[in-house]
Amino acid sequence: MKFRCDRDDLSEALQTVQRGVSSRPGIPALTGVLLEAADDGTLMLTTTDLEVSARLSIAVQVQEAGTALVPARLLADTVKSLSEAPVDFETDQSQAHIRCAAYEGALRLLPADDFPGLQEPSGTVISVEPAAFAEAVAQVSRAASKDEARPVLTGVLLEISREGVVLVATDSYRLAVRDLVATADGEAKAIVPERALTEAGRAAVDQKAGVEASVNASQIAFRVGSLTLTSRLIEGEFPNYRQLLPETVESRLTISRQQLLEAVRRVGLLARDTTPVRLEFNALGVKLSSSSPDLGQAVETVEARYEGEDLVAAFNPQYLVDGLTAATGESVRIDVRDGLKPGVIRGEGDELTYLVMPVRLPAAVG
Amino acid sequence: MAVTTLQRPPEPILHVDLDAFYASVAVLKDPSLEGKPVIVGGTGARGVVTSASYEARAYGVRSAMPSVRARRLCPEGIFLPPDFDAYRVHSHRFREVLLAHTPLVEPISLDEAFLDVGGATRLFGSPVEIAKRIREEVAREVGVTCSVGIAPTKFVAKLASDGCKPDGYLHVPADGVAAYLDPLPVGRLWGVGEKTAEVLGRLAIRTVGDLGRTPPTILERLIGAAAASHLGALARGVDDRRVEPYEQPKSIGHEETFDRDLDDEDEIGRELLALSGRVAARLREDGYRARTVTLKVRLANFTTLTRSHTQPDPTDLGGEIHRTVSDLYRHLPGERRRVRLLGVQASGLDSAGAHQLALLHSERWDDVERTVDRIERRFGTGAAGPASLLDRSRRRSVPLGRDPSL
Repeated sequence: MKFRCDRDDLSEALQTVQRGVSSRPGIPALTGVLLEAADDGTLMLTTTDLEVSARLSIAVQVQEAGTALVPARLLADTVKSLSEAPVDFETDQSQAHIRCAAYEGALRLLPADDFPGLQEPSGTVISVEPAAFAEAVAQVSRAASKDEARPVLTGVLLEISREGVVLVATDSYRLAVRDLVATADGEAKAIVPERALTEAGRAAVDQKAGVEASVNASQIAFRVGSLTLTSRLIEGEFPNYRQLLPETVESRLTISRQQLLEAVRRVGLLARDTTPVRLEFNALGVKLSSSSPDLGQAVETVEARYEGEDLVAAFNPQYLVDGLTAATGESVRIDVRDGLKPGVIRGEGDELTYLVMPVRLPAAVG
Repeated sequence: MAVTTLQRPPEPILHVDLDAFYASVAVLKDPSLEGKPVIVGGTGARGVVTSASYEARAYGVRSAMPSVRARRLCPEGIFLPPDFDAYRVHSHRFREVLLAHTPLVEPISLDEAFLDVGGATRLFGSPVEIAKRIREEVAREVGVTCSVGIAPTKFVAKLASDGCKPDGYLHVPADGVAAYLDPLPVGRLWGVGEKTAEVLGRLAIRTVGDLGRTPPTILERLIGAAAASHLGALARGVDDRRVEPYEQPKSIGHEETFDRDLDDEDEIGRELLALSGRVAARLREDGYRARTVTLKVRLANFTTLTRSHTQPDPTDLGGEIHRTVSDLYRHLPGERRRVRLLGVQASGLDSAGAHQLALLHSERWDDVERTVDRIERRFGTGAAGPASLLDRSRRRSVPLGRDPSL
């Protein structure tokens, strides 16, 4: 195999295929990036940790077609550090030779036969606008659980129908639901590992062409530009989130998103696990307070429109920050019921619903 | 103008004890019982007297006595099952009255507490005046009379309140402690049981005065160094324990002795569920979560087995405690057990503090159990609970009241 390419193109491609794939997969062959140069002038780069696979093609000048498995991290670091000049890449039986300007290096190859063959799933096909997809993924993925004890919650549920896709994530303390306009040729449900979905979303940020996904019972593949990201799906039953969404509104705060976000961040600095941020809702707006016996206390009032009964609810400030960051627009609406029921955050549009459960304060002693 | 002194009074400690609390509450609930011998306790074959009215005590009925014996002593006695909900309500009012006089209230049980009124004299007068006020307010607010001991130390205050029961108060001034203690039998001292009293009696040490006059070296030989120094101090009226306004419990538990031995595994499982639920409800009410759960099983042959399990995440949920005790029960040695007593205890307690609520099912048991708490507070114990305990609670709700044959 022999090709010449632009240093930046190769470097960026190597970075992209390494994200989203575990760096310690346990099998030596999986630490490699599979390079396949074809006579049509494309170089295909593939990585996998058996759960998530990334595949990307770039245009290079192929002098001799061929295949090689090269240690991914080492190659990426090498190419990244090369000077601004064309890169010449050539393999022999055991090594990959890299030449760039005055640099000359040789990396020992991994046995390409050990690299697993990858198949892209065929199934329901969805296509979606890339900016909206990137936004939706960023909005919900934070709410996914990090706790491996409940695998289903570490994923994001995609409910695919002909009307669009609903993305849902919850760690059981908060729940994010986002409606995304999309076209699909059928219906499907898939729980996608948060890590893989986030990578697909990130790749979509600067894309112009549409994002396409195919999903079957066990796998999903996202095609974003020249990148294909394939992921195993998480098995299991996602909680019935619809029953958690309140049907009626009792009390609603309409408030500047940025003002509230800043106030929660400031007051939240003095909140700890056992002392969350208290929110007192009344006709003047909302009063935030927190206090930790060994740290101190803080209070801040944000004026806003509030329709409903005066009430107090306490929240983990990080959950509020995540919700307020996920919402879009100048103002947010927050629906509250009492200190024991979820608060519902919505931005100016209705496409995102973010539920957050309060923290129950200890009952007054008596 | 009188000169107010900010000095601590010499006798700042009060011991306040409600008179025949359980029996008195029974009379409050049913005034027709007034003046009759009321006995509260387990009414089953193995029941024990927990409280008796002074009318019943006149027959020799005492608490901790088997109910069967009480019935023999006092055939016309009116036997009632305990009603812990009512006690808790009255106990709460009792504590409110005490806390209105000083924050330094150390509750000993539902019906008894130590107070340090050393800092309250400017507001309410001397300790004796405070004692009188408390007695009036307790009678009015709780509806039960109480007895108050006023003394320089906790231990003398407790002796004094015992000595003036019912419905009285006794002031032991600092310079009168020796005279007060001197004639009391040694058995009244805290830490002197029948055994120690017998040992001391052999040397004709019968009163507290006798004890105080016994040289420490001799006492040490008789009862050991630790007990000798402890009793020697008490006999001289020395007790430096302070009134601790709040004492964190070390454990919360419930146990039940059954009228007949249980051998049906399903039934045992239901009893464990009921006990777990009660322990959890107490944890939640008092604001604790427990790391360690202990199962106690007494078999028909009186062998007692206890097993514990500690988990990293503390709990206050009956469902979780039940899962743990069921597991412990399954791993007990032997089979075809006949069970006389079951007990569930929670220890390794943490203050519950603020608690992040959850949206989803397994965490939602938390909400379910707390909802049950609220229902029970409003509609009474047993108003809501696990379906598997339905038959059981119906069986239990058969009035255990007066036996018409008596």
